[in-house]
Amino acid sequence: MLTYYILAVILLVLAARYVVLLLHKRKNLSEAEVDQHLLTLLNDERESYEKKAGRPVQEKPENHTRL
Amino acid sequence: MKKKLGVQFRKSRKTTHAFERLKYCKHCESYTVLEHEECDVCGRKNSFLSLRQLSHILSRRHFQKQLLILGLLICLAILSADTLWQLAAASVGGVVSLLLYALLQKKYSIYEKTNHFMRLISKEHDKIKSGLTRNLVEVNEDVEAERFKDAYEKIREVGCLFHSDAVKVCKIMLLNRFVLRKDMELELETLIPSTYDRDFIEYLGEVLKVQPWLLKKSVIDYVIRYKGNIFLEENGTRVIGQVAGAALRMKSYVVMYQDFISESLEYIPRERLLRLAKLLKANPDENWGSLREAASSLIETRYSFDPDFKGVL
Repeated sequence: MLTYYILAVILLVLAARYVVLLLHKRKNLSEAEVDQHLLTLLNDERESYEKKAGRPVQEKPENHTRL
Repeated sequence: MKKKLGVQFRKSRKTTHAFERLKYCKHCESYTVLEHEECDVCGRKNSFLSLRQLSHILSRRHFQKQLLILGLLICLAILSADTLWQLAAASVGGVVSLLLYALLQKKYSIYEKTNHFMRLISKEHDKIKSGLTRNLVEVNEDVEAERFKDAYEKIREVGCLFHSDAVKVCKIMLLNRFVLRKDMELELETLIPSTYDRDFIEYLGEVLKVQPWLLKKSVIDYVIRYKGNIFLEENGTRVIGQVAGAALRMKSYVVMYQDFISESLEYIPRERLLRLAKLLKANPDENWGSLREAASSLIETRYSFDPDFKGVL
């Protein structure tokens, strides 16, 4: 009897996998969207980080007039 | 006036997406965008993977883990069989479920891989950011050591992912140190800062001399927005004239920016004014507003004895 229960669990696992894969297909993400997501994550937070840490580049005073 | 350097930039790798520039060190799990052979954190050679390769490895591991769980369940079903029927059911059920799993994987894995990739990016973006910040420190060191060419080549890579004003300002500052040539891989649109920047205007004036085709709509919009500030610069009128002259390369820009070109006519070089006059003559039905009158008036005032302008407008 336990065999049939385990087979039922296997069937449920497969059904869950199918649903998950269908959801992925529905989202239909492209590499361009992944790229845009990365750029958004890096740049939206970067601006607030720079405000705290200041400009990233420091030059010798005699070589540069303004930063 | 600082002396400008004549340099030859290393060719930048062309990629479809920005993430393709990132490299992941298998050993210390750090990220970098620079073209070093060894990792700058752990010093290991040949330990880099691309982000895509990393995502595929993680997707494959996920698939193998799930397959293992399925296999274990099937084994458990077979082992727990009391009768021959149950054994047969478990075996057939096991084989069918493995086949179904393989079929699902074949049909839908591409969507799952992209989804995993997205999750990887979300999970790793802090580490990626640390890696890029470390790369910027290296740029800083190059600038302080006056290795300006190396610094620019590095920040060019970092700038593909970090689009902040600070990175742009640094790039502009470095580019203003070099003699610009037609054969160089230069940029303009990607350097537009969010506020007025004198160094950007200086660079704009220089880059339009050698690569006027780099002028795009966003650059013209920037110039129009800060026209007042630009006029106050030493070479402000020259830059305005160069921008207006370069805009004449495309008829759509002439149509879109008629007012700007009309106001900048007196600063446009002779050859560009001639081009404008020919364009206006070739398109009489276009609604040129006051541009045609302004051009005619200027030609009449300044170039009435110039044979090239005879009969143009």
